[in-house]
Amino acid sequence: MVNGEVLLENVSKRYLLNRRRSLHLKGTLLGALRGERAVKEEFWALKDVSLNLKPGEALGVMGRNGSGKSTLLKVLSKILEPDGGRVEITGKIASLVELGAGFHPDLTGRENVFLNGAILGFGRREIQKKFDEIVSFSGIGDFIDQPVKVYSSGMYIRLGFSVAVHVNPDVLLIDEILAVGDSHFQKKCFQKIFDFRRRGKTILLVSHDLTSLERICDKAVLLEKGQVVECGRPEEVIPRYQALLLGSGETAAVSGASQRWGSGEVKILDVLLRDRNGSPGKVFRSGEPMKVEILYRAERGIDRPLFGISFHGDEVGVLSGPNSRGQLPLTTLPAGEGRVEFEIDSLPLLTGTYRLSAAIYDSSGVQPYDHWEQAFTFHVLESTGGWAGIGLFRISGTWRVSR
Amino acid sequence: MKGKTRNFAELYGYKNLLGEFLVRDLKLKYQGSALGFLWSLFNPLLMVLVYTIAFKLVIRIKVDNFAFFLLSALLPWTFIASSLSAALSSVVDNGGLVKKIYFPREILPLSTVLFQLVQLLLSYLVLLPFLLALGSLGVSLLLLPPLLFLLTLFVLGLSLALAGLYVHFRDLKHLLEVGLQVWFWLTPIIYPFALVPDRFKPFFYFNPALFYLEGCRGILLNNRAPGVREWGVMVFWALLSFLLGWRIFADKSRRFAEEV
Repeated sequence: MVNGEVLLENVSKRYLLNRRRSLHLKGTLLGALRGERAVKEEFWALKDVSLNLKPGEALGVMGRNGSGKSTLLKVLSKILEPDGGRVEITGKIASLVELGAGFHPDLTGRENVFLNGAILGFGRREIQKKFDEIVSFSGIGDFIDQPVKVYSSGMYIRLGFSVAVHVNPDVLLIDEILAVGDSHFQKKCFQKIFDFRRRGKTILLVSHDLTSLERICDKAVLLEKGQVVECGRPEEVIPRYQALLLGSGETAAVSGASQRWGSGEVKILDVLLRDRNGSPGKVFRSGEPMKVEILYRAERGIDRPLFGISFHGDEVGVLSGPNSRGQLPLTTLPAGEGRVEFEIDSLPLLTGTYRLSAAIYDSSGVQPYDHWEQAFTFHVLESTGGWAGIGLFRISGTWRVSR
Repeated sequence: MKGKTRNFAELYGYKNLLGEFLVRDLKLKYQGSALGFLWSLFNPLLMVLVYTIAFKLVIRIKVDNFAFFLLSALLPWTFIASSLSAALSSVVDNGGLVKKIYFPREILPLSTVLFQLVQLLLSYLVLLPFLLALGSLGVSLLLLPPLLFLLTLFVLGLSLALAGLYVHFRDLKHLLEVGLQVWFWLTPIIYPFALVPDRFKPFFYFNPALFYLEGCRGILLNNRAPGVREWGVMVFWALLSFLLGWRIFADKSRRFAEEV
């Protein structure tokens, strides 16, 4: 096998739950005397999982909470021993699962770099060679000779990340790393990871962040109840994952911080976001069609109601809030259930996570019947091509040169 | 068997970590203390003072150079006792690390024992000039390193077993405390083996510590090398303890991350 190959064959991991695990000799002895058997309740965190990664491949792992993602990472990093099956990994593994684990608070950053490197299985000379690079990447500066107990949590994690990625592993295991540090450092992390990809290293990424997962990985698997239920290219697996989230009630409407108010004569039952194929989901592509569907029920006939939605970005407030004034050929909304649609030809939002509000107001636009504030979260992925630039949304135009 | 050799090979690959752990522990122990290593001598010296009062002045035991007599065996005994107590909780104390990162778990008890060995060697180094002045040293001193090697192997085996079992059975801590007390008094450390009545001596021969400590004492105090039979016994106990301890630890370590 070439360095960087990852092979899992029918790997299973079992946990024993609620068993009478005696921590004391007395309990064990007395239990044995009384003929008690420890009550063992089995839970299979992984069941017959098979994976094969060739050097240079990047695999994204998706799954709901408790589907076995973390156990998989722990089995891969050899922290847990599987109860069945075979795990073979060639070359060195670096795990970005627990950054800075093993840092000792009383030792300086410098001493901890060597200690941490050693814990990851690297020789002193290897670390010595990379030392300057590690420090400069982490941005710790002169603090490197201070004990790490004076570090902020950000510095701590930055140094940990820096050690892990600089010791030149063949296989990189990542768990939601993109939540690390400030946005500037996150960008550096991303670059580093793409760097790994270019150099043909193997990557295994566990993430809820579908955007980065799709950007980094060329393969994906979906875990459910410890089993691989779907395997393929990320754009094939992601919809399946979303369907799973939808089916489980973990729909687009998740934001616990959202608020709802209104008099209730008309109620919003649900809001569906449909992609260009018409299937509901929470991930869309920039520049492609998207449809917002508001399902409602009116208790009585309502005179000229106004429908409105608004898009919110992180930390920037309302991006745009279209409403239906003068747009609907409607005088009275009859009692009963119905549906109002807002169709977007080309989604102008760029890569990121956004929230949607939906509301129904009276004809004056002052009295709310039902208002769901920022209740629906969705993600936008990079477009398949065409638009170049940065920002939150696209302003289309034409470039010309003249002299 | 293949698994075991791979185990050793892997451990060798992590030798740097062993060194880093050792350096870390030494640094942490002596960081910010002005007297540094001398503190490690304080405890045995205090013991010597106390035992001298009790045994030499009060009970009037007939032993020449009582202080050196005592130290020559008390230092290796301290090595045994401190190693076992420290190694016992070495895995549990590093639970955070064990749950988060993979490395050969053997490193944990191994580095604690080596740390104690360094302490022993340093104390012997301090004792050496005095023994030279006393004129008790001779060529048999060359046999001290192999003897200490066997002693370390013996202690390492026990340490591995204790560290592995302690993850399940926390009662071991109390058992060990009591056990060490009993072991200490039933080993000729404060009293010479010669004082043990002949009819009890056969029982004493079951105590492995007897051979290691008597060996040290003979070499340092009387320039007397252990005989072939003594070497045989020491090799036997060292190998038995090490192999058994290694097996137990390897078996228990499979589920450390879940149980620690």
